[in-house]
Amino acid sequence: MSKEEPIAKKPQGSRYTLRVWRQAGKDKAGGLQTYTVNGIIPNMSFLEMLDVLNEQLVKEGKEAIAFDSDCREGICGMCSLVIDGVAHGPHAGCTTCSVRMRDFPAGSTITIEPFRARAFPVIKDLVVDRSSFDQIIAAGGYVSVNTGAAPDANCIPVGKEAADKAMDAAACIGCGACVAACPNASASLFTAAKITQLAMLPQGQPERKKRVVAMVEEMDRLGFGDCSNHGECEAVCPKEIGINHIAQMRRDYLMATLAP
Amino acid sequence: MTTFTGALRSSLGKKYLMGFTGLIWVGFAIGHLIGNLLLLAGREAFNGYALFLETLGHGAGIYVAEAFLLMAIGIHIWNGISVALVDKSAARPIGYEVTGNAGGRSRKGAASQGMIWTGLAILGFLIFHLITFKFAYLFGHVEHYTLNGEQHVDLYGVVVERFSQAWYVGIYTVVMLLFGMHLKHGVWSAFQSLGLLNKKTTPLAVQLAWVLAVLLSIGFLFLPVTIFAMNESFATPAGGLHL
Ligand code: HEM
Ligand code: SF4
Ligand code: FES
Repeated sequence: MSKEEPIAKKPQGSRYTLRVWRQAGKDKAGGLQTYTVNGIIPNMSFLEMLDVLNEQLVKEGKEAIAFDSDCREGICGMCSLVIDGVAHGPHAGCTTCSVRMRDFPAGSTITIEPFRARAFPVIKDLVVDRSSFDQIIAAGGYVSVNTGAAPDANCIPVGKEAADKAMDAAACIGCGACVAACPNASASLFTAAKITQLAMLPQGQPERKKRVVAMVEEMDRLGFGDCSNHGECEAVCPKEIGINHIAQMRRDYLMATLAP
Repeated sequence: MTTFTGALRSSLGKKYLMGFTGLIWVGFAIGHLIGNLLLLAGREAFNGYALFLETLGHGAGIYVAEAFLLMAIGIHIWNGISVALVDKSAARPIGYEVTGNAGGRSRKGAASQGMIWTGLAILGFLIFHLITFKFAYLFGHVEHYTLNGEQHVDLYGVVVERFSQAWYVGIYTVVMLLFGMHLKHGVWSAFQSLGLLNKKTTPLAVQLAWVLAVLLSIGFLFLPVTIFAMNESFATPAGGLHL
């Protein structure tokens, strides 16, 4: 009989140096603090890596780092983080929760900062208040007629191109990465997506003009910046929503104010 | 509901104005370059062209055009400062420690981020340019020539003399390269700002921006550099380029 094979050794994992923004609360001073985390395997998600760090911190009797997450599968829009200067990290078309540690060379240093915008105040550490997005939606991002029960499919014909464009826009999960990535902290991509998803469909027509004016005005009132067409938003958007929606919003706003 | 004039003060309105006034100036720049190419044809051709512009519509034409361009650039500068300096810093009071570039479909780069600085360089240059050419007679002696018993500034002579000075040609060269950068982002951006682009037309507009940036910046560069290098040919009474 052969001797029993030794059980495969638990993978050692790699070490990373993290520079993380720590801030005790809203309106408190904050700063980057450096931590080392061990035992990170390439298949871990970025947030799992932070979980490992937090366990380590709690064991050491230190306060865990606060960060947002919920579904951890790229659909809810709750996770955030600017990783090495890029919102949602280095992987295109991907939320922070779906970024894997294999995207970072073992032993490297990673800087983690919260989404930055006046309209997204930091609540604690890496958690920011994105309720200004809710206010933009509340200004008109809905259809206000009572629609009753679900109608028969195809009883209102919608052209293929319009449907595609509306669906592209409707993919927005409201994460706020577009604002975080924009050099001007503009919310144009989010607002445009929430406007065009309705503007392309028959159900959105009665309030189309009123909606675009109200939502653009609310976006401005909340203190987001203006759009300089850098297109960085499109590149970080986990749902790959294009700046063509911003052009659509500009057309709609122009028409709504020229011929109300 | 918001009126159209009210809408022009919104974040989107500022960009309609930026784009519109920017394109007006691009149009002017194209015309200006084509006109300036008459320098190659010689003293009489260029001075004749200058006189033609000055006497257009019994001399009123040039004032109307100047007022229009001045208004356009005023609106452009006002909104440029508002968008790229005032609103920008207000919207993100605390910046990032590390800034990156997502790559991929991002069009963020030196040209797009430097718009306000290349723009201000153009502004500085425009003032300098007007002092040294248009208002040269206010700041020193300029030669005149007589046509049909009337005295006219020898603008051709002023230009050729300026372009014989290395430092002037140097400044001109640097600013024209910055101007090219401004147009490389500015031209396609203007169409996007006016809401004229979609997924298919955006790459075309980006290409058009490249073409115009190269043509205008190299075009405007070509004249001073040529006149500097071949000053003997240009400084003759007939002037122009003799190969
Ligand atoms: C004179 C001083 C100038 C300043 C201070 C200036 C400033 C700016 C700035 C800051 C922008 C970016 C706006 C944004 O962030 O969206 C811009 C855009 C632009 N500029 Fe200028 N600029 C100047 C002159 C010019 C000239 C002479 C031209 C044309 C020949 C020009 C053409 C454009 C165009 C086409 C745009 C794009 C507009 C848009 O994005 O909607 N600019 N300019
Ligand atoms: S447009 Fe994209 S980046 Fe912006 S909030 Fe929606 S999903 Fe996030
Ligand atoms: S946690 Fe839900 S998208 Fe990342």
